[in-house]
Amino acid sequence: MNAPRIPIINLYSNLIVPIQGAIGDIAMQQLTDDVTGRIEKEGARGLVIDVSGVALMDSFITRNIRDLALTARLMGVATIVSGLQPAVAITLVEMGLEIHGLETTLNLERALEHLAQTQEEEAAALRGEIHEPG
Amino acid sequence: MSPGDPTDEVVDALKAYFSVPLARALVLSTVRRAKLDGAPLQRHAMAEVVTALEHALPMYIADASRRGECIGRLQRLVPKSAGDSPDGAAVRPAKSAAAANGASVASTVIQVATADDVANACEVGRDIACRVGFPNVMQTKIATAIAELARNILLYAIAGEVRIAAVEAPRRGVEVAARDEGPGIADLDLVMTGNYRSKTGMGMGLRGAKRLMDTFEIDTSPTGTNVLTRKFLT
Repeated sequence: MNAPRIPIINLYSNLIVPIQGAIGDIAMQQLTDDVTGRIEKEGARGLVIDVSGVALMDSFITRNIRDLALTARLMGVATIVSGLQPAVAITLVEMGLEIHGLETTLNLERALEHLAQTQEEEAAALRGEIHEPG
Repeated sequence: MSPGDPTDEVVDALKAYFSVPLARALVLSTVRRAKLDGAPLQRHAMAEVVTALEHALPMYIADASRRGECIGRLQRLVPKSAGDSPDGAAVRPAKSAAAANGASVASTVIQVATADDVANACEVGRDIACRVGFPNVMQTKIATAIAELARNILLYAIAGEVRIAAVEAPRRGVEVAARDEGPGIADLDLVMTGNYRSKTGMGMGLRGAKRLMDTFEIDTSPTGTNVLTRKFLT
């Protein structure tokens, strides 16, 4: 109960999770529960995990963020990790920690643009399928 | 405030600047480090603990005025003796202590027993690296290496300690030593090649720390593990 809850913001059916500072084990488990719960309850279409407020990512935090992203994706939600700080990105590469299969963007704005575009394309494809047989 | 537990009083004074668990850990580790026997802080030892905390504060609160304010709060906890000084005077010796601390070569030992301690060790490491003169990216690398070592202690050894020091020889830099009395690492070679996948991290903690630092020595046995690693400025 010590670690403050990380806020989850619903914006145009996309969940935005701004992670700040150092995250402990309890906060991370709590976050995974909260995010997956909200995805189910609110029928989210996209998820953005914004790490621009994280000054340090060790292998443990990286693994947890990756697992959260993969879990959300498995639930059918397009997921993007945004805003990796330069020093953090350099450190992860030097450590040999690659985050395979994870979509990343420079910042939150680009992530939302990307999600909107993907959702538009999906909708267009869906309309196309409906109209084609007719 | 009713006369309660002295530890609670110190935590209370610190909680405007730290989370309560971190404040508590800081007080406990200070009491331990000052070798004041008896785990609960005794009131007669208050002055000593407050002085020790004042020395430690520059590591945690960068802003001088906030730090002065915090030190003021702490000093109000010390039982009054003859010639009790008003606030302004109370802050002055603390400032000179902080200055002396900044001038000398910093070395800090952090007991690692909780996730907060890991975060705390990273902060201290970043601060020391900054003072040694490392640029931001290098500070992040050093702090990340500390996170890996401290996290390993937490995950596999339950408890241990990380010592972070500025060094001048053979070259100017930062030294990080991690020590625990855990079960040791059964297959060190496998862990260091990077083919190992752990359940908790990415199986990359030690190897990652090695890649981030300039020197890396590890000594592991069933009675414990010692890691000594350095990063040089030039």
